[in-house]
Amino acid sequence: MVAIQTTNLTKDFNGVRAVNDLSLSIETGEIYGFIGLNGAGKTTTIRMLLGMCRPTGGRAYVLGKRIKTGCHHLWSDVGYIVEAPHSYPELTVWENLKLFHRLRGIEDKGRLDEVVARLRLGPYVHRKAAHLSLGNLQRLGLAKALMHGPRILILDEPTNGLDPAGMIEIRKLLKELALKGVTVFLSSHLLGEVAKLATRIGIVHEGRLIEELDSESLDQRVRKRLVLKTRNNARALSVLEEAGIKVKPDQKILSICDEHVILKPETAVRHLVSAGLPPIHVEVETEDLETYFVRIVSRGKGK
Amino acid sequence: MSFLDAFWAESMKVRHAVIFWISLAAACIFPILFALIAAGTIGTNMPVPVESNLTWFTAQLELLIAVGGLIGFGFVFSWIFGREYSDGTVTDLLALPVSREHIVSAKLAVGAVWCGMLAVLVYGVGCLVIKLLHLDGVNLGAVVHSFWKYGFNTLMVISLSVPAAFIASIGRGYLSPLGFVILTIVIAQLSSIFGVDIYFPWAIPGLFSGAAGEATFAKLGMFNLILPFLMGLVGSVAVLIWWRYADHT
Repeated sequence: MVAIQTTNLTKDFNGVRAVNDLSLSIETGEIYGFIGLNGAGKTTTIRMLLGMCRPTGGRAYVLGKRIKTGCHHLWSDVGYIVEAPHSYPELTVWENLKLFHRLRGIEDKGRLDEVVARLRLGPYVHRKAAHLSLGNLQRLGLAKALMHGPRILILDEPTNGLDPAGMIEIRKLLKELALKGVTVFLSSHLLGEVAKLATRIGIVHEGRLIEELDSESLDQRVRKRLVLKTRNNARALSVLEEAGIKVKPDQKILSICDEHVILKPETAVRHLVSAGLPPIHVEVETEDLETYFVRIVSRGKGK
Repeated sequence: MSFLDAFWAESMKVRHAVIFWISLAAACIFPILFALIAAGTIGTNMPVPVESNLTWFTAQLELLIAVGGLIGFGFVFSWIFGREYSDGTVTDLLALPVSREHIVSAKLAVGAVWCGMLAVLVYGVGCLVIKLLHLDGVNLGAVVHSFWKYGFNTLMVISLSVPAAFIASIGRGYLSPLGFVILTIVIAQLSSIFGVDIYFPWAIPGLFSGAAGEATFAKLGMFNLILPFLMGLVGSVAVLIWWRYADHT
């Protein structure tokens, strides 16, 4: 079942196109990573998905229902954080949660205790939000987003401000929720984090979706190279070239981009060993999402 | 139920805010000062004539609400709406299973209750102090009789403060509505100079309090007295429309 769908979603602000013809289709239980540079249109898209902004063109649907003004009943199935987690500074963590517990009309009083335990907010429940660290504010924001057991989570930078242990914890939590059928739509500038979490990634640039790939195709599309190091790189270079392998010499390494050699590095290694130059370092280096993203964006490729 | 839930949530935010308790404390100071002046305990060298009776005292309270209320109540509505933008919490209110109309109505209702509490506190504390100071003509009947005019003036000032909620929403904070409140007071003064004050809604409470004299008070007809409430209605509709239809970016 499609959980989130947009068709030709477009948003203009004073003649400037912030989101351009964006069409997305996100299945139930997917973790969709939405990445892009600042001003690429990520937050505007999120705001349109939450009914905070009216599209100039196109349509957006959540759980099959069209998002339009006054569709507040839809939001009982959606939890969200937009841009940064904000809370009422004069209220304690517990009071902030209680406030949204009431506003969301949650009848199960135990949900508050559950969400506090889940987000490890126990030691801070009586602390005013004004005195929380950014990481704990983020946990409070996530607690507000999760307290009603939503079927869809729309999260803008959900791991922002968390320490590495917190990031792992939240990653694990989101994966568990996705396994239970919760659809997660997240935007982040921490591309490595998105790569570890998302089952599908959309790259948005200047309001357009320029690339959409699942975690498997990401692996196929990222650039790879075989890196070799020997005690005599100059000789190793000529040995490999004589064997018909194209090598790019760097200062201290030899770099091979030939797909066949990358898939079977032992081919190159065998030639070197035969020539009495056993490699002291062999590694298949994979381009990370950051590098891939910059390459795609700088190419300015349209879809 | 959702309006009641929203009202509960808004009142919780207000109850926990330091500014609410400061406003209540401030509301006690002015009537005490006026009572002490009326009793001749302080302010004996004041350039304006002071009468040591209930009529003079309640007139001062009316003037306080008419002018001070515009600032104080304007601040209340500015804070209730503007703080959501300043604290960045507005986005948390925009995609809830509660309609935005209920949230805005609850905010307006809590604002009105807060202002009402301030007005009642000003009057109540004032009357208590003048009773303790044994001012002339102070008895329960006279106090209740004077209250209707004070109460009506309070309702006018509350209505006139509602547009500040709209300005806070479009200005995304509480600085622009405070500027708006000051501007209305300045224009009210200017309208008096040009003799059109009975048509300027924000000047009506001052005129109704009798500050501009009995002659001006007598000029106020039904139409003039409706103007402040009309502004309250326009402000309420405007803020409701804004929250429902505007792009919240």
